[in-house]
Amino acid sequence: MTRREWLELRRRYTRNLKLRALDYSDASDRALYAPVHEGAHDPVARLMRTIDDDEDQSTQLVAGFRGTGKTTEFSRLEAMLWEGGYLVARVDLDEHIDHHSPIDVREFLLVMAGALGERLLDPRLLGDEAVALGFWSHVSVVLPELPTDLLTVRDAAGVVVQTAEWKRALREDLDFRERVRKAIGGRLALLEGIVRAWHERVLAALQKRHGHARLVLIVDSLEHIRGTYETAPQVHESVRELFLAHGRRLAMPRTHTVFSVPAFMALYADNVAAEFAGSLVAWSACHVFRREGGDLALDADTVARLVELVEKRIEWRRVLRDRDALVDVIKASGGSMRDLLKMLAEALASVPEPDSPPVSAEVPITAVQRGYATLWADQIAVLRKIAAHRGFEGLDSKNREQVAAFLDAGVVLCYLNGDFWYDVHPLMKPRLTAGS
Amino acid sequence: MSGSYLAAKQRLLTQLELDEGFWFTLVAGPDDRPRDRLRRVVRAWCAEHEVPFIDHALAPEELADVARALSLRPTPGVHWVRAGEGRFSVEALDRGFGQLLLAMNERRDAYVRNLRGAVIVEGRASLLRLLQELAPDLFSIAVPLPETGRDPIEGVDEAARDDLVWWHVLPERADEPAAWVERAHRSDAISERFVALTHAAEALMSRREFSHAAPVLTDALALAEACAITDAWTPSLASLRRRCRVWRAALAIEERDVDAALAMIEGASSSDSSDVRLPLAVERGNALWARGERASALDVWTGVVGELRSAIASDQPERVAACAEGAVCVLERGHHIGRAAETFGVWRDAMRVASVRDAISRDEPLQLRMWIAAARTLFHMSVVDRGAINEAVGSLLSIASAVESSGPAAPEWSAFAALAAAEEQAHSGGRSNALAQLSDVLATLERTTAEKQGVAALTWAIVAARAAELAVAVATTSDGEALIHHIIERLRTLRDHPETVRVLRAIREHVTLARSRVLERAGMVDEALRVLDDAFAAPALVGDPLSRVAASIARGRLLQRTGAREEAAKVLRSVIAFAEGVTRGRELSAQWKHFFVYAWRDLGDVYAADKDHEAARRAYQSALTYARRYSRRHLDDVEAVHEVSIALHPLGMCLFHLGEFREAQRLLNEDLALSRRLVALDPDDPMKARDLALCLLSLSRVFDTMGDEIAAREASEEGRDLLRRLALLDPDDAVVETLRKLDPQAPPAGTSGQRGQAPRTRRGHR
Repeated sequence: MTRREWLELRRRYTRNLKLRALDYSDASDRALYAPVHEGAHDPVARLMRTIDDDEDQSTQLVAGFRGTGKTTEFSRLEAMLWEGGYLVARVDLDEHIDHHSPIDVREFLLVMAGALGERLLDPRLLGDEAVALGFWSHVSVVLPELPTDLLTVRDAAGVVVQTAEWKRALREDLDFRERVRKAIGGRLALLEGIVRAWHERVLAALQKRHGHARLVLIVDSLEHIRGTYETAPQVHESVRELFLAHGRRLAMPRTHTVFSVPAFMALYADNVAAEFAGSLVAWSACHVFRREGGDLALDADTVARLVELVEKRIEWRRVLRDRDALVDVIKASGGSMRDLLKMLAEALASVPEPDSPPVSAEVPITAVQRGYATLWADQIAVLRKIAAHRGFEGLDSKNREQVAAFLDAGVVLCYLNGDFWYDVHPLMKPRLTAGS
Repeated sequence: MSGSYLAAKQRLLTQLELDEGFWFTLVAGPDDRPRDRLRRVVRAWCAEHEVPFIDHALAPEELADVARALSLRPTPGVHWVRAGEGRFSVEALDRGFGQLLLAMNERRDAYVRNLRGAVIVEGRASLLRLLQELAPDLFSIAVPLPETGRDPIEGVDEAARDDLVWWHVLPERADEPAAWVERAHRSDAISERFVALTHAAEALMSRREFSHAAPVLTDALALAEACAITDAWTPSLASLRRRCRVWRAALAIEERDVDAALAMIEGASSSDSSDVRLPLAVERGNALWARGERASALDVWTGVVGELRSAIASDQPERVAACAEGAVCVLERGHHIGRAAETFGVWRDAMRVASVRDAISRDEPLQLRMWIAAARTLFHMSVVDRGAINEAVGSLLSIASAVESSGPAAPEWSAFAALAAAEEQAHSGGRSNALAQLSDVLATLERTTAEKQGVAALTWAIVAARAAELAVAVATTSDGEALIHHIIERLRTLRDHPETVRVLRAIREHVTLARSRVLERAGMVDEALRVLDDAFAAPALVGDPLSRVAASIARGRLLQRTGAREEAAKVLRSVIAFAEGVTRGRELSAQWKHFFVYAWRDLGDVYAADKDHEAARRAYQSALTYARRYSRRHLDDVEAVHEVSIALHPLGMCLFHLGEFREAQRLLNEDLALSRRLVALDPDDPMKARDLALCLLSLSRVFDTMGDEIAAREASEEGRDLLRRLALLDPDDAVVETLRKLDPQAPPAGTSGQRGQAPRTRRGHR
């Protein structure tokens, strides 16, 4: 292989190793896809099973841990649902909500319905028929107090010369949001009624067109809401309140709804179940280890699946010394797709020439390890407890926020085999012993 | 070049070659020199490969704009984002980069879809933590780059292995860092260079020349690492390396680089380090403090002080010195977390030990820090804990007595005992007595100390600043002017010391404010305005921000008095907005409460002069709310009571103008009761007497309108009688003169600015 050819190959591998959501409906992306969760614990299968079992409606929250392939799997879920005869509306809240401000149930109801209204334009759902069902025009009529004047700019003669989109105004215009909240005031039940009534009209239209209205609404990207320095605690609190205090209001009638929510919501799984009569699915990392008593044993099946995933993306023998090295890298990833792909990219970067020797596992492991920030003594203490118990037992309740941050950053990983358990990322574990 | 720099460079070049889509990484490290070189390397690569290189060198607050611009206009190429030239605080940098990463995190998917190129963010080592904690989505795709490291001295690897044991021999000029640096450069041996640079760094650190010390320490540590793997490495050199790490940790604390500090502390603690255990504990306390774990930090320092007895028993002067440093740290920070009295007790017990005082007296910067902290602690206790201040007076006097009996006179101890007593007096209502005491102290200090720098100068300046403030309130106009003029002249002759430069600057500003206030009282409003403008017209980056706030309020009031009401309102509103921003979410301190009360009251005066009584009412009500809220929590603070009084009066008169006579009468009656109480507490304080007179005149007007002619006449007569006596005492007092000339039936709206002494700052004591 010439240097030029090797460079081109490395570039292709670099593209393949990028952490991005695969589009399951795209053939080239599908070629890179490999199922990594085993049947019983495949979260998509679990979501699908719940939808199939609850004939009428269901609500499921997916606590999306980063780097576990959640968005890719949502794409697979969507494909499976269509194949299963469901009508699927997948909305991306990134386009609708302000990531920096606390979210209010009033706006959220509006945003959710508005976003669904947009998705209905998909020819597979209602296509042009959806125009007549537009949520924003509906709500403007039944709630005339809403500040629609802020959405239009008129000239001196009173003629509308410019209009703003509702979704953009709700996302970007603080003043508009504030006016919306004021206009609705405490009449939350009224707003809920309006949204539900509109939703019933949607279902009727779907029924008429498709002969059924088995609608699945996938509400994606709510986990991206973070807040700023100043607002982060309030934003977290608002998300908690949205689902724990208003959860039932968010469940649309005769519709299966799947929300992706921030990882920290996994810590409130019990409360969520009580509020929704639904469930929370924590999207786990692949369990490269099994818990056996107090010890961890390598899960050969999972490792084999991850090797298969790697082989779909890169010819690993060119960059890693042997299969043991690859297994070491997989073990060090802790089943986190994010770090597995990163380590492979680092291995690739360490083989500059076509005839350069493949590297040992230590090279990419060290490279990715240094990407993590140093730990404070109190963080080390908490992580040691998590590592000792493989969970949060024995932690003080005041550590809840800290644990949420660890989950958010992938410093602590969530696993599912048998039941949920947690462990410190293998890349971080050496730091826990270094200071002892 | 360090290994990590070379690794970072190689990884960056590889990524540039391999990745044709969007990618992101951090170029982070504690030293800007290798970061700068990496930038040049990448720029050169881009030029060679015809890839656009866009250097976004911006002020911290503008960094987040890049994130937005890149999502709107995803220009292909390599975008290098960094803080531009200029000196920015660590807080400003962290905030700016934090906002940038937050904004980028939110737009990550947009970049992945639309941007063909890289975003490389360059900055301090703390960037990694910001990325992980604030921008986890971005962190997920970040290319992990090694930290760029520090620049060691070139050629270390080739240095000769010489056996040298001379490091403990002091050179001819032990405290001259340049001599050590020169010696290091002349030597070819690594160990020799390491030793020389360590001594140079120690000398620089002891002078608080941190920016010069940083590269020297970095070089010394790099040399130590190189030397440690050679045969030249000896236990003595290992011990010196530990010291070097302690210095580096101390420097990192000064630079607010807590990660680096902890790393150094960890490095120094990892081996046998009994000789540096206490200094390390002091630095660990600093690191904890910087991380916001303030109570834990105080506990660590208190623990260090607790080892004093054993240090003395074992006759280890270095340990005693570390305990002394711990005691100063405790004193410096205790009042920040409401433990002023407790920490004063820890400090006082340590100071009773002669060897601790000796240790501090040998370290002038430490001594200066201690006295600055002592002054602040005394003031803090005088506001919130009168019992503690009484005890402090006794403690300081007993230590002063012990100092005098055991050696040469130490006037600063007596001066601080007097300052403590004056604080106690002033906050109990006896400001004229306090001024008399401080005047005596100033005279004594001037007689006994000829030095115009160091501790003696600092002590004099701190006492002088407090005296100037009291003089505005209680001295006659001419006496106040003379005293303040003298203080200003003497302050000019004081030489700045690195440790006192800020506090002396603050004191100069503080005294300037006092001068402007005296001029205002003499009716020289334009001159007062000019004095303020001259002192505070310089760019806002220099000087004490609190003095600036006080000056702005004074300026607002003076502008109002010259008739420039629109500008006055603008100035006062902006001060209030600023103060609200600063104090949001915090408990209101005496200083900020003081600002709020006077700013709102003066703004009310502007509105009242414009006949906008509704707006004035709201402003006065705000002033009263701030004053009451504070006063209720600090029942012993007579100053706080005074501020309630001066907010009550204009509100009462405003309601009178709005026709709400009964409510006006109620408020003025309350003001009258408070004013009488304040005058009774300090009958020699002319300001309190003036305030009482004005209140009586106003009440007279209200009684008259309500038809109670007898009450009106009695109040008017008492008020005018008071004014007559005040005019005899101080014929230059223009405020009294103005009040005397007022139509008895029409105390005008907007005259409340004649009351009180605001604004002032106490930052002079820092």
